[in-house]
Amino acid sequence: MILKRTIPLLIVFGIGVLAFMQDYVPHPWSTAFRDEMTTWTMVIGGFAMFLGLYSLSHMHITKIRRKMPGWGYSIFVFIGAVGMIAVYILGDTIGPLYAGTANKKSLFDWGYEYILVPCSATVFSILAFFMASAAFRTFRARNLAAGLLLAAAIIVMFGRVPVSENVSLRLFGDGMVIPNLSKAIMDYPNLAAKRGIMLGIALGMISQSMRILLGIERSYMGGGD
Amino acid sequence: MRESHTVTVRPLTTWAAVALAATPFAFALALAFEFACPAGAAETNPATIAEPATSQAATQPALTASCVPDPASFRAMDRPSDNGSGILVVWAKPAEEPNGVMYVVQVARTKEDFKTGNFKTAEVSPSPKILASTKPNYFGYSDEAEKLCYTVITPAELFEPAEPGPLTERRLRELADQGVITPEQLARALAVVAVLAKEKPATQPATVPATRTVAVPATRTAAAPAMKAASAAAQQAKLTPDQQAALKAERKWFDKIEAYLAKRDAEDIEARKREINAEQYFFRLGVKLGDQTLLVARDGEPVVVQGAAEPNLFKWGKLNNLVLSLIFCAIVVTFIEIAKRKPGMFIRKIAGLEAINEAIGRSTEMDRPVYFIHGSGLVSDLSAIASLNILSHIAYRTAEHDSRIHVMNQDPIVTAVSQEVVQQACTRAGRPDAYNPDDVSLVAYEQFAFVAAVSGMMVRRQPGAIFILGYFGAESLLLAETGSSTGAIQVAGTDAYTQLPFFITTCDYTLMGEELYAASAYLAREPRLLGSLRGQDVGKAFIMIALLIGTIVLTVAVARGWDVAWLRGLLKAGNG
Repeated sequence: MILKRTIPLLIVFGIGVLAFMQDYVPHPWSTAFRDEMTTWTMVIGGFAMFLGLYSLSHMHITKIRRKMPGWGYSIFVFIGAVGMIAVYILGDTIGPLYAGTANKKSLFDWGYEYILVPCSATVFSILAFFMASAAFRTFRARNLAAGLLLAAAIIVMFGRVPVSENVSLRLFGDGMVIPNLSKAIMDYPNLAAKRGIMLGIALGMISQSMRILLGIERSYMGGGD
Repeated sequence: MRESHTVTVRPLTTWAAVALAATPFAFALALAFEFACPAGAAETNPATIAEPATSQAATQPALTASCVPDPASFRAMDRPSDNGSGILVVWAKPAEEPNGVMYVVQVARTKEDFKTGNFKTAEVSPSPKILASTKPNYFGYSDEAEKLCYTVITPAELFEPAEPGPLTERRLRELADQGVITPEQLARALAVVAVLAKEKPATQPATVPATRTVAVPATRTAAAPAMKAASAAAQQAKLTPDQQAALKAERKWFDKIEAYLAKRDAEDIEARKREINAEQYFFRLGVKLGDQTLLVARDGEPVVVQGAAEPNLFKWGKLNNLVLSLIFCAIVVTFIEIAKRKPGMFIRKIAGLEAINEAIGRSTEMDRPVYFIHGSGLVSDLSAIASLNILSHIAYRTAEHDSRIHVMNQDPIVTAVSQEVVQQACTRAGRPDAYNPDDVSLVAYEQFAFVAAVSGMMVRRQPGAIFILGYFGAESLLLAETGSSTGAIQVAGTDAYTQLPFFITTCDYTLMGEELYAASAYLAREPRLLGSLRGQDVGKAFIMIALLIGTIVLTVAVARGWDVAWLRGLLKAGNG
């Protein structure tokens, strides 16, 4: 019990209080403490990366071995991982599909820039479609609140495109009416709500920190509620 | 040795919008701030009369005694709330400040250095930014601050430590003598330096003396790197492939040694800067207009004041923040104690958390797995810890229901902790066999790779319930929309307020901000944890009242024209 609960809780409390005070103490000792903690975090993170790699490999090897549904995708994990590690170890080799003469990249950089980045961009680009479908579902005026949301959304979206100035000029004789209304919605009701959430988050964080520092909240240690 | 350095006066610290400080306590704290002027660590010399010191040009307006600050006001002191890097030099604003006038602060290590000219000069523009009233965390809110000017002198910027030279043979030998590198490393490094030295002259045409400066045509300049490369290539061409590979390896090794020594040098320079900042310094003050300079003087002698920077133990500008944090902590602890004595405290219902059991039950009935998706937060982030706490409860319920849980992670440390949490939860539920390490795995470290992998798994395996908890960025909508398309019950929770609209739109239940942190306490129903929740709610009510009072007071103050700078100062999140 002492090794599994008391000592970890004491470490959490001690380091937690020191980290809290570090923010208020400008002395170089305080900075040195922060730097030391950062280094420890990096070291622990480095070791944890091996655990993560083990976990990832084990899961995918099991899938392939048992021919679980979608096991074919798991092969690509190893092709990608082994391929990138291999080209990094090989070093300064130039990418096979490279046609230019300037800014020569290593095969590793080439793989990162011309495989991973475009793939990520592709996934990211799907967001636009999802956003449209989510907006379609949300902006249906089923009741008063949804109607208000719809009206606010239309004003904000319309006020942020250049054509709103022309429309505003024709309707109100002043090109900035709709853009200003859009800005006002963002600057006042929206900001007020945002700050309300932020204040709640800040209080929640303090409350959670207190529970952890005092050892009342221990679920994260795997010890149960 | 006179050198001129322009001192950049730092702008005002960013005004914080959050009204944490706008509480009744703020009024009491105001007094503390009023008198929180720093204790001067410097010894100041009194002065009486200002006298002209240098010549003046006929074309410029003449500097008069009224342009010179009062000698009695001139002082130097430790800058409060800092790490010992700054000295505040303060003087009273003179009666006149002609256009184009500059203040000059002369800094020397000893008084005698002023006579020998061995001092540095910092020039300060007389803008409103140098008024002491702009830095209430240094000078308070007294009326006197309106009449004072200040500048911050960082001695290490004026008396810069010497930079170590390049990695020559001589320096390498010195480093070996100091024990920084071993004799073997010295021998290897010297060999590489010798090779580099041979290559260098080869890149220069032999007919052009090193000291001769001629206008090089553009074409030749452009061709120089090519010549260098060609020369190096020609040299390497004489070597066998094995020799070339060995040479390349040695150069790589040398680059590493060079990088290590550069880091070491940077640390040495930082240490030297701290030493320089910690020394005592002497200051003279003057006003400068064109080539005229008048020093603040007494009895015909320039006034010299002394000061030193010291590392401080507290950032007084954050006193309001600390006091309020402690008060809020006290409220939470008080309610924890109350909850211990009076269990069964009423806590408002949180729909998203009430739905967790329902979602797990539905998933079990449909014989589908439960998905738990962690955010991108590291284990040091509170949102990740909050998610882990909720995971513990969900894993326990899932094991109880004999259902299966898959936990998707982006961070290796969160993965390791999640595995432990799920394993313990299964054990507590009396079903240790339900734990499968492959169900709690690292999916991907990259944001969109993670999205792609998790989305694919969701579509293929059709989970019955999906919990998306933690900190999310652009992946929030991608995950939630895909989850929505599978027909699963989705419960999301995040403290990333920019992503909340996406979750609200696509998920059945959303834990907004603080509800994420309240979740584990709410689910556990343990009296002490519930007490902390009640404390959190009381703190929120406290802030709402304070905001209301603050708004009324400031509105009335503006309408009546009252000076409430001190009150605004209390609302400000100072860093210094």
